[in-house]
Amino acid sequence: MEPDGVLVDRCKKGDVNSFELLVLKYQRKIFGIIYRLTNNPEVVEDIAQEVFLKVYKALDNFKGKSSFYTWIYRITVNTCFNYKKANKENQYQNLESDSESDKFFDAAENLLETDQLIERQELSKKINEAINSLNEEQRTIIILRDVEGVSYDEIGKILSCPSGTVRSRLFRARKELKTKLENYIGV
Amino acid sequence: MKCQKYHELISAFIDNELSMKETLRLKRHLKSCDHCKEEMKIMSKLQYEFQKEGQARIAPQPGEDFSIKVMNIVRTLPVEKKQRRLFPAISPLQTVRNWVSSFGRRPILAYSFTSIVAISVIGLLLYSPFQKDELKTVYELTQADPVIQIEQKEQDGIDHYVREYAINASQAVFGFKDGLIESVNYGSSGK
Repeated sequence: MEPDGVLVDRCKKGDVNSFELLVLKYQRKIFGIIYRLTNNPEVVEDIAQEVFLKVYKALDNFKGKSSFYTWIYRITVNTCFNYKKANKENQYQNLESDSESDKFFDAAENLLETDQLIERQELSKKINEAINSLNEEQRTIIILRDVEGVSYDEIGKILSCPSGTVRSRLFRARKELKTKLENYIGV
Repeated sequence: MKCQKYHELISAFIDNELSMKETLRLKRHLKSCDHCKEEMKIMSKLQYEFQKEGQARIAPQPGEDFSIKVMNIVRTLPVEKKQRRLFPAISPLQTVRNWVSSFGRRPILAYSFTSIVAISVIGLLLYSPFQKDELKTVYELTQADPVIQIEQKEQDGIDHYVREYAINASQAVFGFKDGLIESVNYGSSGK
């Protein structure tokens, strides 16, 4: 596939098909991050659609100072923040619904012994509770870094803050998580 | 408490985000501090568990028709939004202002512009369509214009001809000297 910069330039010139290639390239990543930031699988597709339409409408403003990947992540994170602001009552729901947990553990059943499975299930629950107890900013940083593997520099661009700030916020988030999970992770 | 400042370094170290200088500083400290070694183990384990948890949580996948849905909406958006502008999106007045303000930086451009404007104004004054009608009428005179009367005079040994034409329903009298128009007289029969 063509590099992002080439596809973006073509889109700016009115080539709609190049935009479709960008959608196909990023849709899975965007679905993943929306799911982790909202904890609600039912809204993922709608938010993802909103993200791609925002991206298309704002393409003329994209000057290429950061990578397209960073830029689309920023729009995704902001769209999720806006969604959560508008739906505050659902903000602290569990990361997974029971049925989703069941699906995951059904699939894992063949791979793990029952004891291990129960232990893992317990740990998973604690981890999700601990992550959900963080404030919005810390949660987003943990998800971007530990789940999505985004670098400090890129997180800084996504959240509009220096990479030094990312480092200290990430440390504070981990410190808080450590306090809550130290007894469960068994070092 | 002394070790607290190293804990942030540990957090960045497990992300491979420490500078070489900070890495060396941390490693020197770890050699002599069991507390921070323990902290390193816990942080690494935590990060590992978060990554594992993140990967285990399978996000909903986009359906095959997701991109089609997005593109169907994109294609309904106004096309002109994506057309490249031939000129900058500023008003003509603003364009002139920007241009004039650039004169301070480019005096040669200022002199050239002033000269062009001055020449244009003089040219307009000399050849304006609002000039006297006589000249305009002379240019419009053709062979096809009917001659009403020719009068021949002799003065100072040179032949003078006066021809009276019907032009645009009015009359004009042209005086010729040696074949060239010498005078024009409107609104008279020339007599």
